[in-house]
Parts: sequence; C-alpha cells; structure tokens
Amino acid sequence: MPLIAELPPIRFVAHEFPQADVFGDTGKSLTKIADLATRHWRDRVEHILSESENEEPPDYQSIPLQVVKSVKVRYQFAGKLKPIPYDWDD
Amino acid sequence: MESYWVEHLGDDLAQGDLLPNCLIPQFHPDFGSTSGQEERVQVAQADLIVVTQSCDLINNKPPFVALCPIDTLSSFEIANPRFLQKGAWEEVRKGRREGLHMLCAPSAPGDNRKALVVDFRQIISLPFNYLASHSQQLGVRYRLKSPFLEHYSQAFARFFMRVGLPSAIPPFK
Repeated sequence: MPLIAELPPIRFVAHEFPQADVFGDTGKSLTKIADLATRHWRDRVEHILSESENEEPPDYQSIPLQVVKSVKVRYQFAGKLKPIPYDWDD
Repeated sequence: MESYWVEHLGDDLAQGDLLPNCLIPQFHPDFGSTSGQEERVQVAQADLIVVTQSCDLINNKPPFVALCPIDTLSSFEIANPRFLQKGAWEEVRKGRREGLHMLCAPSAPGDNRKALVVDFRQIISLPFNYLASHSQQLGVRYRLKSPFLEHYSQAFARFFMRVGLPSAIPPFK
C-alpha cells in the first residue's frame, strides 16, 4: 500500500531580495520598489517569525493522584523521627 | 528492540523498580489537629518507580523510599491534552522535556505508543517496609536494567540539580 508523506510543517522564513547590479533609472526605481515590498512584508510577518523561533514544546501538569478509597485510621504519635545511623568510613 | 526491563521476584528494593498500584495516604490539611485519635484519610493509588539509589536501599535500609509516578502516554494526555500535538512526545523521547523521562513498556518495547512516562516533578516518599511487603505481594515485577537504569538515574539527577537564575543572557536569534 503506498504511503503518503506528511506535509512538512509550515514555516515562515524571511528572505532578502538578492542584490543585483542596477542600471539606469528603471533599475534604481525597481530596487526601491523591491526594498519597499520587502519592508512591507517583513513588518507584517515579524510576529509570525518570532513565534516560530520561540516555539517550545508544551509544558505539563502532573497527573493528580487518583483517590481509590478512604479509610478510618487511629493514629498514634510515635514521636519525632530520629536521624538514621550514619556510616562514617575512615 | 532490547527491553529496558528485567523481571524480578522478591521483596528487595532497588532504584528503577516499577511498583504498580502503590497506596498513598493523603492527609487532609488539619490531620492530627483534632482531639480525637480517629480520622478518615483518603488513599490514592498510583504506579510508581523507585528513585532512591540502590546502594542506599541495600546498605542503610532507609525508613522512607523516594518514588515518582509512572504513567502511560494516553493517561498523561488526558491530563495534558497539549501532549496530543505532533512532536510533543518526540521531545520527551529525546530527553529534551524537563521533568519527564520516557521508558519503554515492559510488554512491548518496540511500540512507542505503549511507552511509559516518569514525572520527576512529583516525588512521593513511602515507608520502606510497606514497599518491601507490597513488592513481595506483586510477585513477578519489573526492574530497570543497565544502562537504561543509569540513563534514568541521570535524568532524575539533572532535573533535581537544576538551578534557576535570576537573569539570563538574551537568546541568540
């Protein structure tokens, strides 16, 4: 059975227009328009880019312990816990 | 795929012992403050894994043993639906998720959806003698084997020894 590859995650990547030699007034005006277009586009996708760069795996909450029963207990105060023997290896 | 676990029978305890269905008493905030000596205590049940070092368990027989909850991925997802997102468990599997450690399932080591996840953020302390008795009653149980045991132990150590800084160098973007 053929497998269908999953689509790669969508990522927005900021590209610069390649710098090229410009000739004449038309070239200069095209470069100016390209710069304007780049700035215009960048301003609008900046927040998307920064979100993508700051992407972190989700945090988590510990699973609450599941109470299975309740018991009636008679407690007896056994005194304060004392330090356990400490092995002193010389 | 090689299993992370070996079967074990007996009441001896070691780091990496998987102890299903441990009972955990949950004292209410005013427990012990009433004049009577009889009170009702809620008891929770959880699958736990030992984090106390084996050498301490063997040599010192400490009165209390430290353990952490170990759950299936599906039960963890119920409490944390964000882990249903693609790639979330992969981060845990790679050891990049602070506080969580993934171990293969004893019964199906090659099936990642059946893997288990240890939550280092909850450390539960239970009496040694209770756990020894419970281990005996469990019969055949599972114990992490080397080097998966050391890997698990190191993950816990890394989580426990982390240091929060009051400020950090800004990230490079």
